[in-house]
Amino acid sequence: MKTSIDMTRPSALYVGLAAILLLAAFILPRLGLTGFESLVHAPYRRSGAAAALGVSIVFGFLGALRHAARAEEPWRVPGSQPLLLVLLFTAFGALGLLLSL
Amino acid sequence: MYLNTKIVNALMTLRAISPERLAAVTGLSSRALTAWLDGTAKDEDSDARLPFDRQLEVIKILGITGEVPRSDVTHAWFLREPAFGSREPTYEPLRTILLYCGGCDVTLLAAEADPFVSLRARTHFALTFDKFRAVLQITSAPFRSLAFSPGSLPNMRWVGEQAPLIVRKDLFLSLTGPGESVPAQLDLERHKALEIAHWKKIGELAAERGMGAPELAHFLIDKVPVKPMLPALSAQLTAAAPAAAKEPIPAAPEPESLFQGAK
Repeated sequence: MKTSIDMTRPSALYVGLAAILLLAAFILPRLGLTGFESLVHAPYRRSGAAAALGVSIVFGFLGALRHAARAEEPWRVPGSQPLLLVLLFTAFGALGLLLSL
Repeated sequence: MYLNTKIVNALMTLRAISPERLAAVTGLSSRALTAWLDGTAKDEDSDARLPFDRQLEVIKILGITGEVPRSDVTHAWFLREPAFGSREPTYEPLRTILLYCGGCDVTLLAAEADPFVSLRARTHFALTFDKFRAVLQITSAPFRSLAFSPGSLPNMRWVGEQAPLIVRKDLFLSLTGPGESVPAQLDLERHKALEIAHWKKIGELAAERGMGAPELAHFLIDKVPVKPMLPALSAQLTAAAPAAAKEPIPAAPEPESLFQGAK
């Protein structure tokens, strides 16, 4: 009988999402997608991108903290809590990435 | 004699059965049942509309035979924490039942591996009362931590730190499905979990005394005679499970009674 919950699968998912985001951040600027700037005419696009990436980092950090808390006390922290934070991390990260193009 | 409707109401909440559903199952009038449960019916009317033997039928549906919940089934109880606001009232039915039924050990009951994605915040706990077993499922908001705190509930002893029940997925589904498992199954898993904690404790005690595993093994070989018990080991393990569950539990400070004196 095990004494702790195996959290390999959600951990792999979270690391995978972060890796995809990083990979996209590395690859997309090198693809020469110059048309995006003309699609989004927001006056503070760069600032918006920075804000979205900042918020994404905060959510990512909180998600990691809650994931660690679930490993510590699985009866108190439901698995949905880190998942929601990581999904917000991914969404804001993707938004920041698109705005920065 | 009459029944304590506070306990009946608490059991209905824990079993997630509405008065309408209970009335439909028992074939009683919904109005009479609600009036009896709410205490809004006049005393003599209440007895006339819902005689004592019908009241016994109601509590039988809720899993009570005699004075306490049945011991031959694992009771499935459900609580749902609200997404916003105070969560203290959620645990009021459980508090009532704990005062009525006496002490219990509580531990986490979970599958051995988390799924990739889970947006449902459902946590299960195994409750070991002196006379019966229950599995409590608490549903919370996906973004909130659980407010369940055994330390703040009367007569509840948390053993989740040393003996959480982390079981295979199929066994987890069997243990948590209403009507799927028998108490002996839960007891066996609990016995296995406690055994791990006990072996760990023995290791710590040996280390404190400067003994490693080889020294401890030699000590046992030299000093403790072997008992002829190996052929029936598995059967004894099963039999030992209920005994393991009967560790001293603090007595209820003010136990309520389901059956009150005659009016």
